[in-house]
Amino acid sequence: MPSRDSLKVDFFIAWKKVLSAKINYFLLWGFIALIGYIWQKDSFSVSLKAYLHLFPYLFLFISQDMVKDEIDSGSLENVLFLKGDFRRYLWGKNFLLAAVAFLCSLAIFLVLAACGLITKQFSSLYLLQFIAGVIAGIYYLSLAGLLSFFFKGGSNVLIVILGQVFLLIGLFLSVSQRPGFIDYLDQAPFPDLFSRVKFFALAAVFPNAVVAKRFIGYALGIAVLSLLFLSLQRAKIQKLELQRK
Amino acid sequence: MNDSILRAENLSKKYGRIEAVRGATFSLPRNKITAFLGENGAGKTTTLKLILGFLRPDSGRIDMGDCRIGYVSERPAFFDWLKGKDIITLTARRPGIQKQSLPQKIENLCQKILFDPNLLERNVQTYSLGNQKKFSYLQSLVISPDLLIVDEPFSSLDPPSIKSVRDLFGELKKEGRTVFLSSHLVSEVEKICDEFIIISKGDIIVQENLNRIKETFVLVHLEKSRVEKEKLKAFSSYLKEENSFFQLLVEKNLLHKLKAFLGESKEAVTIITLDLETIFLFFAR
Repeated sequence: MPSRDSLKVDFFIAWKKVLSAKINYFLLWGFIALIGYIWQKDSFSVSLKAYLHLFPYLFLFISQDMVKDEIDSGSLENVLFLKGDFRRYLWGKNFLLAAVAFLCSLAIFLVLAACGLITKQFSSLYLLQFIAGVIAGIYYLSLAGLLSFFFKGGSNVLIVILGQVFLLIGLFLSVSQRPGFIDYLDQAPFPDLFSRVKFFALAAVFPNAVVAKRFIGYALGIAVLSLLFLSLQRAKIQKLELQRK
Repeated sequence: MNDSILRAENLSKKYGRIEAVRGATFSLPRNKITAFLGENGAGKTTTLKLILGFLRPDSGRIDMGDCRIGYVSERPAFFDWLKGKDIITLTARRPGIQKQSLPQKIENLCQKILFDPNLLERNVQTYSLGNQKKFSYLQSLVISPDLLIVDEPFSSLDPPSIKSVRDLFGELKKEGRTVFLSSHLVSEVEKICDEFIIISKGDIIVQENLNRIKETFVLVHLEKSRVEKEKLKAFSSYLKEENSFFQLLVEKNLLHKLKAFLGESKEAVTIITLDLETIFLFFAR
């Protein structure tokens, strides 16, 4: 059982890392500006919809460079992480990053929700979609965290995004109803099991899809996959040894 | 275990097919400075990492009770987003560290290791290599370790800093602490160590008290053509062949017997007084 002081040390290091990465500020403020811009140019409901579909990326971007860089740099071979304590630090980082991304997402959502309540454009369904988005975000974090055992720098995040780009290009070219793509996803019928499995496979690459109104059930599947990736991370961390490159 | 702060038994570690450490058994006597010597790739750093818990042994065990360990690596590396003072503060959060006296303690330690305390306001990765090494000492000493493990204690340090670090080891010993040094600089280590352990190709070859071996033994070189190897074994269990010579560590009080045994051949004998480098070269090669 790690002591409270040990956890504070782990959290302080991870928190300082988040704060020191200028890209995190750029992405957060850029995202807020984008939502504001959509609201101004279109409507509140469209900006809220865009927010709900895009905020899981906050979890993804904060997960860059979680493991391999720190091992290869030798910075974990420190008095702070003797007797295998580096394992606790690497595992705990998942939770701290999830908490930071969640709090940022929640803060923006609360502002939007307050505006929605004032203008009577807020529906409780948005809350469910927000929860589905958080699940998608945690999925991103668990997947990117696992990838960061193998890839350095932000390439874990880049791989996820490249996968999505290729999938979306393929999907976009294959559907008949290109305008209003998200609306199409919202209303798409799944007549048989095969269609459902296909959609779930899509959601595994592009988990933001579970935010669409009718797909909240799929969020549970994504949550199960998140647990699987976290378990794989846990298993890798348990076997991890520090060998500087 | 009472006399030893740490005991390793049958410690083994493989990297793929390469056996970095093979059945290493040794102990670190409490309140002593022990040198860990070996050639490049002998398994020193792997052994240290096994002790420190950065690597898991394939087999064997390490007993070290609940002692507080400090560690200075050969090439210290630090998170590049943290300032020196952040790392020191985090390190001092460990249980049992007196937080109130920390600033005074840091100031004293900085003086001892010739480290400029103003550097603590900067990110550690911006320090010179020598200052990173000194900072690593500072970080380890802040926790008042029972056992300080140092990989290449003098690397990257300038001569005044080498002297200050050497003095520091002596002070730690006086305070009842244990120091374990892994080094190539045998002559520097000889000035301060009490015990030595030699590792070669993953095997612990010998663990001895330096003064005992220096006071008790001499190194004898003897032409191979003058004597049979089997007969020499009666005079020493430390015997090896090198080119056209036998080399053996002989107890000083057996030297006259050896000379008597050799008779006329005693002219072909060279006797060398031992220093740590000679001992190291004898055992490690």
